[in-house]
Amino acid sequence: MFSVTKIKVIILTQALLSTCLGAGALEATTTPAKLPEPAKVATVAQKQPEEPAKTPLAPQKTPAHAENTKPSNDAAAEQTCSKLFQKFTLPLQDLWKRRGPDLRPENTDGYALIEEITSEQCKDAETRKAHIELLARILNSHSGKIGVILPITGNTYSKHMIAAFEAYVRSSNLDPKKILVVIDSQSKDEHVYQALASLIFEHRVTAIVGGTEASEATILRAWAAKVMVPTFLMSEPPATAPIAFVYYAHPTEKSLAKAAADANVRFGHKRVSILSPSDQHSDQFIFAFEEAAKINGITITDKVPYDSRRFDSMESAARKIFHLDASERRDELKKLYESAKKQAAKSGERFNPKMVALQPDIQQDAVLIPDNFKMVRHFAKIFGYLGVRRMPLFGHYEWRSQGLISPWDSFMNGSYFVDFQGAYTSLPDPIKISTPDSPYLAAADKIEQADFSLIAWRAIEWPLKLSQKKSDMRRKMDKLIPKKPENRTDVSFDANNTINWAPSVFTVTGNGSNTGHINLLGQ
Amino acid sequence: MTDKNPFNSNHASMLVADPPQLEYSLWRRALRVTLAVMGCVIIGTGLATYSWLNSLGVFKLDHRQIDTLTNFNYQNNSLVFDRNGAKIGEFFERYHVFVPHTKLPKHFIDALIAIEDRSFYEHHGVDFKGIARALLIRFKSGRARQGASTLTQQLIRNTILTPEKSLNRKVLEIAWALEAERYIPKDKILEIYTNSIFLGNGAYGVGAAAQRYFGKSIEDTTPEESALIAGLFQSPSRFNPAKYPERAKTRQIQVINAMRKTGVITPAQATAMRAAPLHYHPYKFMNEGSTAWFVDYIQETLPKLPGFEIKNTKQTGLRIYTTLDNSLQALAQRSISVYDSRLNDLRTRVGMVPDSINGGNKKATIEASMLVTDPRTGDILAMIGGRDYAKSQFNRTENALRSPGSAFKPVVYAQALMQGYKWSDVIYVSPVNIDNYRPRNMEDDYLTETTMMRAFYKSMNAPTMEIATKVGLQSITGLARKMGIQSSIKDEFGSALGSSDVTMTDLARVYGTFAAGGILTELSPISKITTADGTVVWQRKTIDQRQTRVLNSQISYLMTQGMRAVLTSGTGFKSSDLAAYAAGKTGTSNNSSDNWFCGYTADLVSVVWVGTDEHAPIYGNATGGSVALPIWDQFIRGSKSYRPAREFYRPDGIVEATVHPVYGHRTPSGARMYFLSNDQPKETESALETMENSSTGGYRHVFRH
Repeated sequence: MFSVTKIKVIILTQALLSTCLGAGALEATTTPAKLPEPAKVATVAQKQPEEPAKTPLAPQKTPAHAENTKPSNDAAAEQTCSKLFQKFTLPLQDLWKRRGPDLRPENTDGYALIEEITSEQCKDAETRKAHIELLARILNSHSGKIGVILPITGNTYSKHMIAAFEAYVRSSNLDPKKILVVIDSQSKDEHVYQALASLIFEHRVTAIVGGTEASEATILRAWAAKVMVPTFLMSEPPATAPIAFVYYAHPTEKSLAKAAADANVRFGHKRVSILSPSDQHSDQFIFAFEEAAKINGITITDKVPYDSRRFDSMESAARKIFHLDASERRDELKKLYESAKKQAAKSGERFNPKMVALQPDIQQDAVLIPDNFKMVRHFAKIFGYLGVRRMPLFGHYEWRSQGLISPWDSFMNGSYFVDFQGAYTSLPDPIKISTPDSPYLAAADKIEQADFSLIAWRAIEWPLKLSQKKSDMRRKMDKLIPKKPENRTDVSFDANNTINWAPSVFTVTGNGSNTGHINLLGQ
Repeated sequence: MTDKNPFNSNHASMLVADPPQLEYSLWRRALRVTLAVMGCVIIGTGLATYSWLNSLGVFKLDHRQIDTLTNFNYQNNSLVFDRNGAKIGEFFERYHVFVPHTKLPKHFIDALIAIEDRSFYEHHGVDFKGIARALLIRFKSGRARQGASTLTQQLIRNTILTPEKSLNRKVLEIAWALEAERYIPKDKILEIYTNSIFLGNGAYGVGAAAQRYFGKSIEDTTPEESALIAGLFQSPSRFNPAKYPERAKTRQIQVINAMRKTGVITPAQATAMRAAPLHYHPYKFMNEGSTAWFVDYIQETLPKLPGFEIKNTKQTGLRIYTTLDNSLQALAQRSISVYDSRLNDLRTRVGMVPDSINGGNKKATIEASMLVTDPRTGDILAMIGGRDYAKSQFNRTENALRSPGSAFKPVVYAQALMQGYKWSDVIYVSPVNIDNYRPRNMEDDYLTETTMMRAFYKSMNAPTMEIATKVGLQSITGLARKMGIQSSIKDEFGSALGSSDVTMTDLARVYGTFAAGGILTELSPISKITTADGTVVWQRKTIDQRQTRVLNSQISYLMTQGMRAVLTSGTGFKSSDLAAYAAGKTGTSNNSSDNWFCGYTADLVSVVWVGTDEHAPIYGNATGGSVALPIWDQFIRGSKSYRPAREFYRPDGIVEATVHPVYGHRTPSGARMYFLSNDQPKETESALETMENSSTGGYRHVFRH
């Protein structure tokens, strides 16, 4: 355990702290604080990580110069120190407090000293210097390792992701065991904090990958800038402004919805009805589609919610979009009823009121059903039952299943869906899955593996690149990731720090057999 | 005394005034004229009478008619035997039980002669004294009170002549009676008479009458019973004791009184006879018990037998050897009877039907019927046409056209399997619209998925309709006809759900085909027909000639396994233990007016129906599984004593797998399903199950964390 006396020794050896921190050294406003560039320290820290506490910061200004400017510089340095204290030290102290029981100070390479620092130490030049020096080490230096925080316990997808991370690292001729530090969050916030503390203070990682669960993503998102660690979250980005150090390496429903709207334009569908699952799981997709539709000049004729647990709700929604219960058609129904009754009497047959039904009033070119293939199949049946002979349906990734086309329902012919996965045969070899029947369909027990492996494979690409930039300070790595336009096939991030992930559009067709076909629509 | 002679003195005196010669001459002339006129009249009358009698044929009676009389065939009933040669019934134009004269009891002959022809042994066919007596009585009373026809005349009237009342017929009757008695001994005439006259209740002759009214042979009748039978000769319908017991008693007393008058019994005996109570049988059918429907069925079948040319089967004394197994017949009857009280209870849940007799409405009667066949031979082993033959002779196994409901579905699924579908195929259960035909289930059934197998054993309508639309109605109805449905099948998709009426024999053929591994064997209730002397006049075709393969053995076996699942897991689960060696399918038509269970073992097909003749609805969730299955169950359990249970034959080319019953993928904890080789599901997980097991409730939950 480090003692206060020891800290003072260190502080004394780092007397030039105040000269290291000019007024311009801190630029932190909305962006992270601009720390001094202790290249020497960083270098030493990387070369001699075992004894970082003994390495003095390289002075940027001479002591004499410092002496001459002492009164004004000192005040500015103190102010800067205070700002840094507020912005970084306090959060780091907070994080340290949230550490797990296994994280011991002796394993932190001196980073644990952060907990000893108080705001008072900014008033003293020496202690201030030591404070800043310590901060600089924590925020600049990195071990070239990648931290992985996943809810391994209780989830099956995490193992697929870890396998994909390891495969990717191996494919770069690196040893995953030396690169990856995997910690189980157990889907608990406290464990996420403990994992984060461990990765920062103990493993001093270059980047963090995680955030598959919303709560975890929220925590990591909140801490990325505070600890200046590039953090790659594998979940849908929120609709808020991008934050430095936070990257979303996950396909987005917005891009999928845009692809769906584009497909409608391509198929000439100008009027679209939307059946909206009441569990709201597709609300984001629907919202994004509505936005994209507006841009593409597509009219949303109806948007009707349904409860996917109740047949009557689904049938009612279908009846609504085809105006089968519309009050203005009451007279039409009455006439139909009377006509059928007369016809039955004329032919001598028993009149069956169940045979009397209005024909659907079709005012749309296609119907969006952003739900799973099972619901789509049931809706197709309901549409047919209501007398709709043909209606292109479209949806998203939840459609993609053998169950969509087998056994084949001819009503599905001409339908389409969008997905973030392309052909399964296009997956990188290390994460490729078997596709015995079609390059576009996987066995049910392989689908989760394929999805999460692909996300992981793409999410780890930039962290690994960064981890190899050992000469670069971690707090500057945010700048190393270029912002590129959308629709790129390589792994890149757009201006919102969201991965560019081009969706695929698939069409559904049948050929008269008991199984239909899914085909990739050419770009 | 007045002399009426025209030549007497009074007449002669009238001519005294004329010369005597002239008077004499006139007299003689008048006499000659008179004589001539009289002669002419007599000759004319004689000629006319001769001509009349000649025109009637009195002078040239055809003796072949007499031969017909003497050769009267009393043994013309056709007898029906079960498969073991035991007589189970008979049928006939007229019910005869021949009794030779020597077997006629004396008290019967006495009674008959006393009441019908007291001078039978004295006259020569015509009782002229009796005629005179009858005329006298008629003259005195002004109306006919006593018949004068002898037994011989009555016999002639009933056998050779027609019963019309005319002078011509009477003259011929007398002539024939006189002629008959010249050639036929009295005892023989009595024998022919007592064996040929209709005596009511379908009985011809005293032997038949004794059986019908007293259930015994004429030899065993008591004097008072004989007196009653003797009284029937005058008017069997008027004195029928089954219908008019008081009239019959009065008539019996008349006979006893006549016996006393003729002295064949003493007054004391007459008193005792009059006082003796009579216990005669009420009217009953010729064939009784549960086999009666089968005997009726045999009668109806004979004219349709290919190659059988005898037309008048009721009078030719045929010996018909059938396939009926009396043990199984009795078991089938018991299997229904044991549920009598339950079936009666069911009547409280039956809808009202019009009462054609009393007007208004009435509760319909619950009926039940059962047909049992041997699938390998087509033998009809048991046939129960209803609950009580005495109450209803309608044979529901053959003559009732009823809606089979889901009992028709095996045909649909067999066709689907033939077209490449397999039991594990998944179906999304939603309502179906076929050309505006929109059958609906309870909505709870929808929004679910199921394998084809589960849809079958749970008898789900919507999936069946979907399969039917996919495989095509024509192919289904075509297969149904191939499998033995001979009733007309409507060309509409409702037929796939059993809306076209069929008979039980239709269904027995269909299920027999499954039981026999895909081979249809035509139902055959008769194995051989002979004449009374044993000459074979018809024999059924060989087994090879009666069989046609309509399904391949593998498809048939798959269907058998599907129908075993009906018992283990489906609508027949109440008899699940029988699935070890039996299979079957329930059927329930709209409003539960028809409730079926059609099932089979390797050796027996048994079809059970419960419903009402009026197609009345049965409320309270009556189904084939709840009301027909228990009867079938009772029968199949009992049949083990006669047909030991054995496993169904499994052909080559079949594999089995445990499959998820809803989602159709292979899983160790799934239901056992059978497939054609190399056609079993490969998947070990389905997307549907993945979704069901997902913690998020979604599929591909990458966006649902």
